[in-house]
Amino acid sequence: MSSQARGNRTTSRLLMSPAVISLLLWMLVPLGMTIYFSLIYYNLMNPFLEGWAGLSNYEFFISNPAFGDAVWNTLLLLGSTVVITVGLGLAIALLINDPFPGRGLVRILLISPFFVMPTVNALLWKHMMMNPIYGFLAQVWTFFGAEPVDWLTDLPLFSVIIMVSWQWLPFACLIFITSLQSMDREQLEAARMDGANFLQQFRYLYVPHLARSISVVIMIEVIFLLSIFAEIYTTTAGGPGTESTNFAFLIFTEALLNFDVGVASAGALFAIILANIVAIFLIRMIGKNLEN
Amino acid sequence: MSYLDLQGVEKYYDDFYAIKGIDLAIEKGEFIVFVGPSGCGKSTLLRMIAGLEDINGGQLMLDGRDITHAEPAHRDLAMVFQSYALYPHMTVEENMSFALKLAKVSPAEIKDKVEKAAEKLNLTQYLKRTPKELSGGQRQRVAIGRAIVRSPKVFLFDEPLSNLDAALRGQTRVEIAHLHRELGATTIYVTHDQVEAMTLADRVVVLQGGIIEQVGTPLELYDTPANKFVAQFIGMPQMNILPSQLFRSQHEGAVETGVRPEHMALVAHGEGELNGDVEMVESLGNETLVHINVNGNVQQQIIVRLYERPNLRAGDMVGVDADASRLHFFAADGSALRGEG
Repeated sequence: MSSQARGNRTTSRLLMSPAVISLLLWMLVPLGMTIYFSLIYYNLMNPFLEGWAGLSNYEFFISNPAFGDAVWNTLLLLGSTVVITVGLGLAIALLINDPFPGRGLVRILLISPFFVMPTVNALLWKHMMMNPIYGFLAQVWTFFGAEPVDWLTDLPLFSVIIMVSWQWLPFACLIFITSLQSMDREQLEAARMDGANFLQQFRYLYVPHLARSISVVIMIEVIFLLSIFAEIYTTTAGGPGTESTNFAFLIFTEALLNFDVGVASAGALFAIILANIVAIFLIRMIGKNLEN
Repeated sequence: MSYLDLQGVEKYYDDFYAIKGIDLAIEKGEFIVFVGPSGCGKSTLLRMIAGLEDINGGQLMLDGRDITHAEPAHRDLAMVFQSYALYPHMTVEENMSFALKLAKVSPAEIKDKVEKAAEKLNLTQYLKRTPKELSGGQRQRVAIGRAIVRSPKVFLFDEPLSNLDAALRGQTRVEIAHLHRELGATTIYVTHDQVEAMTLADRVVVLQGGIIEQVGTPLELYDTPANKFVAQFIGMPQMNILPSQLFRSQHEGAVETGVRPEHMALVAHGEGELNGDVEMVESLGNETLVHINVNGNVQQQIIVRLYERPNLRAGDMVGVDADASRLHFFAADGSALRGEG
């Protein structure tokens, strides 16, 4: 009996092994190569410079003045977008939770930005909305007699935050709308009888009820927003200067503009570390909401 | 003027006339039960009193104050919901103190009130638990405790026992009756279960189609129903109602005559007031219910309740005598006719 069970386990392990091994290789080979490249001189513009580099690639990457800006911009972009999407998402979800004529249409309109490709999204904002001459916002500013804002030049990171938030707001909304559907009506009525106004209902009933979906939204957004690239590439190209350069874009600059594979690999390893630091904070803060 | 006064209270949903002008005077300390079939408007009426539904017409007075359009929280009422509606992420203690906390009552007073209520409801040892760690009966008691701590003028119960199993329901019914005796609080209780209505109420309000069919003590409703609907709604198994010409005793203007199952006796076939064949015999131990098709007509099936165990089988022919002093006569419009006709 037990030997048969052991035999079964061996068989199942054997049958699972191709999948596990290929997944493992899929992860380990690129990681290994990145580590290897980060330790050698490997610049496509200078094929004669080669050999063991030690930690000098890392040193070069850190001492780049853009490094600090990139870390800060990454965190700022991440934090602002999460705050904006969760805040506005909650507000919109609560607003359209009660039935009203045309609710179906409003929901579709709310969700549709999520289906727009990031590059298209960025170009739409860049040309149709934020262009200082013919953009929609410039027209509005002019209409009110104000000087149009040159968004991408004067407020580059803020512009990117707006674009990314617009893209991710539907996701937050969708999750919150779904979660609100399961909100118990009688609990809200009981709270009304207990004398809770809307803010108190929000604080004591809605937020605890939505805690898990808020955690899910933050979790997923952080995963995707750490590596925002398309919006920056198509609009500001990281500039002016490094004002809108985030970590992903900085690595791109090193790898495909400076063609320095070694430094870019070192940067990629820093990105892993940064992602892990964010993950630790994230799990500390919201992980326990996901448990029960 | 009575304590809680409903004066021509009305409710419309778009073009649906849900509550058609209810007049009801409730005295202080009374236990009133709203009973009726589903969709009769009993829950709507309760929610209108609570302030959870707007009152579209008429007036609602509580203790001399007009509360027709007052906010739910400012009506001095507390409600126990069907699903209990406990706040799931708060402990029992926080659930019970929520209303007081919002009303900015001092922490010492809140603690005192919650502890007293918990003691009364046997919840003291559960104060630190959350609702999901409690059984159905305990949750029920927390919901009641949440109402008690506010010391409201009127308690409202919306089918509070329908989520409990049969054994617990009986037990909780006794507890609620006990609590009402102890607190002496004015209570309005909604149920579709006539046993709850009969056992708990000082007065029962029978509702149907948004109007009151009859108001009275449980026994008044049982002994002298105002119309055919109340006669058939109260009592289990329900009253037998047959065309009047089948009976020996007649009443002027009566079209149908009713008699309760226990007010009939079996006699030999052909000798009874009514005769027919036995359709089914239900032996329940303490009583036996005999279903009889009068004159072999399935449309005219009656039930006779016997407290002995007859030696009957389906298909047997029997006669039935009705107790002439216990007959109910109904006019063509369903209203009951009383007195000598």
